[in-house]
Amino acid sequence: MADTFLESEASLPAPPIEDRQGPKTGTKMPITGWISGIYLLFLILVAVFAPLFVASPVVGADGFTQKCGDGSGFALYDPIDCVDPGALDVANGVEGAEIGFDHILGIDGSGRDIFSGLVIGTRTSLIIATAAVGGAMLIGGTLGILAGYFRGKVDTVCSFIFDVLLAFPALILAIALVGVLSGPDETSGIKRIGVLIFTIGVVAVPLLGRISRASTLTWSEREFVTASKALGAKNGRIILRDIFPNVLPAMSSIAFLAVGVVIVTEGSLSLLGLGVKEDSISWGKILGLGNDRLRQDPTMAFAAAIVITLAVMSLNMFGDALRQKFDVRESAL
Amino acid sequence: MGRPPTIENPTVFTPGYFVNLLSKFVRLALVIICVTLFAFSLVSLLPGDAARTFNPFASDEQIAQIRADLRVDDAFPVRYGRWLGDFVRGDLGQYYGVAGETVADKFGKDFPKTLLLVLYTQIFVLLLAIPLGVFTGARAGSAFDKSMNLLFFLALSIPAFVLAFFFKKYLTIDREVLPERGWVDFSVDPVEHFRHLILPVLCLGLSQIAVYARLLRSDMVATLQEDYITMAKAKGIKPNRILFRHALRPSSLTLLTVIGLNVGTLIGGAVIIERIFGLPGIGTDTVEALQARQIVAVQSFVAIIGISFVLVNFVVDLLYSVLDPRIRRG
Repeated sequence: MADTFLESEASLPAPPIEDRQGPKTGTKMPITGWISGIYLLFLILVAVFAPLFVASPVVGADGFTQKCGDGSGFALYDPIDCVDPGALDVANGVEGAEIGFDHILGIDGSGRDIFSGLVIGTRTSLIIATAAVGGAMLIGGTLGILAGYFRGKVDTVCSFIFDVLLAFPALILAIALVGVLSGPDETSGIKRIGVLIFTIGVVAVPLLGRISRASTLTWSEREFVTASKALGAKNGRIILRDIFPNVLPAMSSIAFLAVGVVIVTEGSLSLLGLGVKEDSISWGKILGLGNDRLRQDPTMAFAAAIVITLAVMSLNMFGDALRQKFDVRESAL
Repeated sequence: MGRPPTIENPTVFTPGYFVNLLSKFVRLALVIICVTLFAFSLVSLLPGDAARTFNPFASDEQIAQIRADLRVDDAFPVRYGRWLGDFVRGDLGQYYGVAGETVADKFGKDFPKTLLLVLYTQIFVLLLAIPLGVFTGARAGSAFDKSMNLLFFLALSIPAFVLAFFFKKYLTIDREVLPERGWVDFSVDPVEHFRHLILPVLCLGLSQIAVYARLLRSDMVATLQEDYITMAKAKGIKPNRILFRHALRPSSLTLLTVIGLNVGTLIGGAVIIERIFGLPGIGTDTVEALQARQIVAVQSFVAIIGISFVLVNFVVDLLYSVLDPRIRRG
């Protein structure tokens, strides 16, 4: 028993009740799944639409003073260019200073609105997380399925690649890759986001690859695969029509957990000064800036921490719910 | 030799066992070579003149020195070979900018700190996770089990840095119950040493407790259905003795594996915790070296961390087959 613990605990899907009909729903989606799913949908809507309602700074007649929005609450201000010097003065105790516009969660050290940053940063954070996991799923998943299906040499090579990549603690590998790929402080914000996606994707490839490999190993033993082979089906067809649809549910529930892990990784990299650049905004960036200001004003760090935790929690919950629905056993992530 | 293991003589090592062992060593060597190759090629990925990147303001002689140190003029395999030779002999290169300090000095000074942090965290995690895992497994489905399950879920979903922020704000900044940051050597002041490490260990360990306890719980649920447990119950052995002496024992292998795998997770997590709590460990060093563009140092740190992680898991793998005769397959 003991030697198979990792396999059985980590990744193998339980055999489904009905085989050939693809992923059949075992149980109903639990209520937590619905709640977390709705929250995730809300986050996606925020990521897509919030940046469309941003008030950009309007430079005044003197060429210096800028005005953002109409000064009423609950507006979204440009999280990079909209600086509120009045609020900064108030925060610093300058006499006679007046807040330029309302700030629900206060301002950061340069006078920018934290609430707007968190809302608008949702887009960048989610883009990094989904692109990294999507890429890793594509590459890791493909390698894993090939390794699990063909076994032998293909398996040896793929598993070896996974082993080497897994030899580095994920965050150490991510730090080194970001540092090396981004070059000495010359990269633009967009390029850094690309570097982050690539890096986190590389780190996630072996994890997802192992899981899809283990899952494929069990599925390719099944009778319907043997039957397909006996009928003369080509390998490509078996993989696409028999293996892939069965591996997919397991992978998709794990993908949600992975997105959560990536959001945390993005935050961690920002804490270390290796996150998105000055001209972009993400949850991680607010977290990193908040850490530096923890002593003066913990609101910033706490707000970002809570936003990240809620997202991770609902991703985990949704992943769990999917797993229960598709009856996949616990993952190693 | 050659005989299958028997009940009277369970420790027979079959030839197959040695072949298996040999292939494990070959694989280990290959993985380590690839790990060093990977860490080394990081510097080759750097765009532009590697020497200039290090120190944009260096004089021409300094640049020439750095170029010689980096061996940028040699072909890649030659460079890798020489670097590996130095690396094996403990010459990890120079730490540019700090007079006389080598990467090896810095490593020797700071790696033990990270290891201590990881060690304390493992001990703390095991002390809490073992009883929690055993009792939730023994009372699976009870209200206690369900509420613990919820707590485990929360612990797994809250990132370490979030815990760190709240602890830091409410325990060190507002109330000064514990020191906010910094490291004190055990030999200097044992009490302060531990006081400085309470919060880092707590932040690093809480989510791991959930990982260990959940695994142990599912192990226990399975073990408690075995016949020998029924037998022990029938003999009238006290429940706690059954749980910890009889049922926990087969799970020790599970724990061993997770401890090995977790070393990597903890070293990675330690980077963040070291940063937030101002601990001068290897994670802080790696980040600082990167920010200072000390690629030689980054290379060596990444390579050593990778190798130690591989070795830990290799040892765990070996221990595994020594501890459990069933695994010595031929």
